Amino acid sequence: MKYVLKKAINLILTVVLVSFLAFCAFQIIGDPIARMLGAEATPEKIAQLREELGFNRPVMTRYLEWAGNFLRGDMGISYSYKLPVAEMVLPKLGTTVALTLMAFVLTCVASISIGVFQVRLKSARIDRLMTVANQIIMSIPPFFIGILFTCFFGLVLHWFTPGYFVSFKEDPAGFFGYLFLPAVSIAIPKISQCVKMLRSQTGAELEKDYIRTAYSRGMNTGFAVNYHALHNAIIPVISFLAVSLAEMLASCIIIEQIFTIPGIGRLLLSSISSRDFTVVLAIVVILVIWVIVVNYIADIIYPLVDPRIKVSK
Amino acid sequence: MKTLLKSDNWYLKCGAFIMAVILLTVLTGLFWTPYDPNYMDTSARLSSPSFAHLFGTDNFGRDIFSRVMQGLGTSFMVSFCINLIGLIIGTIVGAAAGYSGGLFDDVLMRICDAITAFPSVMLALVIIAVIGRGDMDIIWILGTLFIPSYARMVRSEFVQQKSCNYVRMARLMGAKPLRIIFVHILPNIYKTLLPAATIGFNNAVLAEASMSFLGIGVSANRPSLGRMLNESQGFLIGGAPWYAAFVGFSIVLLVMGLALLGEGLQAEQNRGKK
Repeated sequence: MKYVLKKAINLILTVVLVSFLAFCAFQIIGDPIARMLGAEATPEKIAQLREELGFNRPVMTRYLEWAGNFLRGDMGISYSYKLPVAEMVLPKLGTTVALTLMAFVLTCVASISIGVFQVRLKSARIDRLMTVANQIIMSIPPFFIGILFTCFFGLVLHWFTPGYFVSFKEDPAGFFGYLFLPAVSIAIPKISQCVKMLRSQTGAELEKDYIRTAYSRGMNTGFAVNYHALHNAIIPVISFLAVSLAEMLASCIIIEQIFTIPGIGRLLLSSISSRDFTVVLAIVVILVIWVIVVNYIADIIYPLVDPRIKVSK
Repeated sequence: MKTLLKSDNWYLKCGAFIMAVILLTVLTGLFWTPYDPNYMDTSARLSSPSFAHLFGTDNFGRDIFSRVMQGLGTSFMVSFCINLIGLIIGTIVGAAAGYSGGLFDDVLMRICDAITAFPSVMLALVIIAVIGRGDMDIIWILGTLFIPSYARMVRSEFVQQKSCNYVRMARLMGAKPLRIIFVHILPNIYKTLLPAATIGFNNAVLAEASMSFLGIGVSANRPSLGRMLNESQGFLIGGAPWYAAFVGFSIVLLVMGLALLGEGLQAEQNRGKK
């Protein structure tokens, strides 16, 4: 419990530090004043607007004000759309989070079941075949899988219409149906990485002394794999899965482009190209918080799944 | 070469073969391509693969095979530079941290931990959002993001090697730290570095392809695989599905070759340990 609390304090400090750095970076580079006024910018007007918007106050007070508003759900106003950023970001955040979580659940379920299946295989030939297939699949980047899927399922089989996204409010089933293929394309490379890891970990475990002892006590191979080796081999896979949740978010940004899902990644890219820094800042801070929280959860899970890891004090 | 042919390390064999083919293609692409990759033949838009155009042509009538040859070269060079920056600076940082230890080591490693916690494509996007981009910026940005993983690995090797007898001997004989780091320890750890560098190269290819797929790669007038894949998306329907297929599979081939090579080198190294 103490460990969890200590980690939580650490987490909050990291979030504050990183968001402060991001805020400063955008303040220094993304000065919006000249851009907001456009061609009419005169030094007097710029000075006046700076005063009005409070840009002349010290960075620290502005950061505190921004962070306070951020926590209350007010993320500022977009320069280019003149809309509250929260209204633009939050609905899209939901879509992206749904997509990432779907991909994550798929990865967990598929990788562990396929991996355990492969480890328990009796036939060496099928095992080798799976290893080769796995190696090939692992080399296909998610965005190419996405393109193959749109081509095959969308244009050949007509299972879905590429680009025709339905929001959750209109049709929840259609929403999840549309997100299924993108989630699969994010999940596939991760699944094959996990399967490979599980396979090699079990192989390593089977060479250890305790397995030899088990054999000497008359245990057969199946029992040794199922009850001894797999238990230990699955631990690093679980921690790998926890960490890969952060990477899936990055793949999401790319996959959203292919399947034209109006998620946070598309918004981020379009705001970067229109240099709409309040939006970019909000999204960056949300992404950073996501990654930090995911790593925090992974840190808490480690000692739970593997009692050998001593919680450092 | 002979040992490679006789070896039963299939990962290494296949990886070396694929990479040899790719390198040959890239080198040829530097001096000769069947067509000028930027020449637009308006009479042959989106033509299907034939003997005249092995991979067909794109929407401007440019020969896709020539463009893939050069795009492969761009991807290869850009990822190579990214990887090289990460490797060299990472080795220096890791060596310094591992050899000196103490507070310096702690601080450097915390920074590395913080950076590696984030997916590199995401961080690169954020950095580009902040500082904007030029032609070759992507190399520096991604290269910087590749430093921590190398630094961590080199550091852990250095911490191990530091207490070895040969290092102590060298120190007793009055060798300076710089000499110990570069002349004594570094040659001993390159065998660990080699597979890691290959896998890093693999990650660099993926990162570069993702970035140029998002339209944030090196400049637009140089063919690059990620950007071509992005452009090909529009012609999946009715137009030219082979466009995406050929470009995509050449990325897959490059990634696969490097992954197999890395895997093979790793296996070779583990065998040496036993």
